[in-house]
Amino acid sequence: MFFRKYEWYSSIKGVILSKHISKACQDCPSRMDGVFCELEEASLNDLGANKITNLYKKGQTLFVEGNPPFGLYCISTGNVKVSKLGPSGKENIVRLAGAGDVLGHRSIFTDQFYSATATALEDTRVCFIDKKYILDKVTKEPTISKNLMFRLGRDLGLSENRIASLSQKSVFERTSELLLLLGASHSEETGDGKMITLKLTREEMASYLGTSSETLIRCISELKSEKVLGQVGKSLVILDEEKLVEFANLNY
Amino acid sequence: MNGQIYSQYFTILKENFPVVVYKNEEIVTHRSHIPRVGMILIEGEIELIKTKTSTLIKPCQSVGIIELWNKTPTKYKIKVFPGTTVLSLDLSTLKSLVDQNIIDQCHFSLG
Repeated sequence: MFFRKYEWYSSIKGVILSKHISKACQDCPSRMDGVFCELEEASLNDLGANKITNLYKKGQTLFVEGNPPFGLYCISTGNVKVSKLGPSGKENIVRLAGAGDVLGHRSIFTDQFYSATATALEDTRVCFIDKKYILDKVTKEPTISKNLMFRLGRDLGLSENRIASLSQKSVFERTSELLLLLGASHSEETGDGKMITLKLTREEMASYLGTSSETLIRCISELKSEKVLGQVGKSLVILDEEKLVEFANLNY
Repeated sequence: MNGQIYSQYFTILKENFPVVVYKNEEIVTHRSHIPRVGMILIEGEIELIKTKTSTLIKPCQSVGIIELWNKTPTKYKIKVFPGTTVLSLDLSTLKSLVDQNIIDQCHFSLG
């Protein structure tokens, strides 16, 4: 026999442990925002048969910095933070990824280890597609290549903007910029303004901005005193977006 | 855990799958997740963690392959320690080896 079966393994039969639900790609809520949005039905079915879908709870890692890549992660629902560890062991968030985003694609194309760690910020449904399958599909399906190139280009542009912001802008301006970014991507309209729905701790926000929690809290207090920002429970609410754009000192 | 790999199959697997080294500790599969890849331990440590107990697997033992093939969730967390070398078995290559009759499909079924 190729494999011996162990006693405890045979007891697994018929037991469903997880809330794992196999979802077809056609039913994915992020399908039209994703890399595979232009695939035909047959290709989507093939993709569905070759992907692994898991539900990551808050704090669970998808992959770890420095370890070998095995494939591409497609976020169906939820949010993920991508972070790097500094020399002092301090975490720096380099990217926030949400529904429709892909992770791990740079490592499979450059054949390098993961350059950062991805951790779920909330319950996040992620589809994993292995490297061999993706590399094969990239050559056969031009829409996948095109969409991946679009994302790589977009991410490069965002990274360049972040580098410029970190070196040229004050913490107050960067805080305003981050709030605008979250307002555009993770918010819902309320009677008072835009409520930011992504639950980031002050430490996580400070980590993304490259500053300390104390400085960030001071900036947030200043924005609140200017009546630009409000708070409902633990959620921040953008009350005056126009003024926030002024404070962010955007170049366009 | 899936079992002991015999030497004649190990050569076939080594020809078709990459050997990777983990630089940092990682929980490669969380409890009740489907593994992304199956692994055969070559050198180092892999720990299978249940709620109250844990087991270290030995070199040449495999983990996660059957769950990956059948797309069933694991009953345990799989933790890989730094410096561990594994043979990494992905689903696409496993399927192509089965299609070519290099590996027997029945070895991946439950029961």
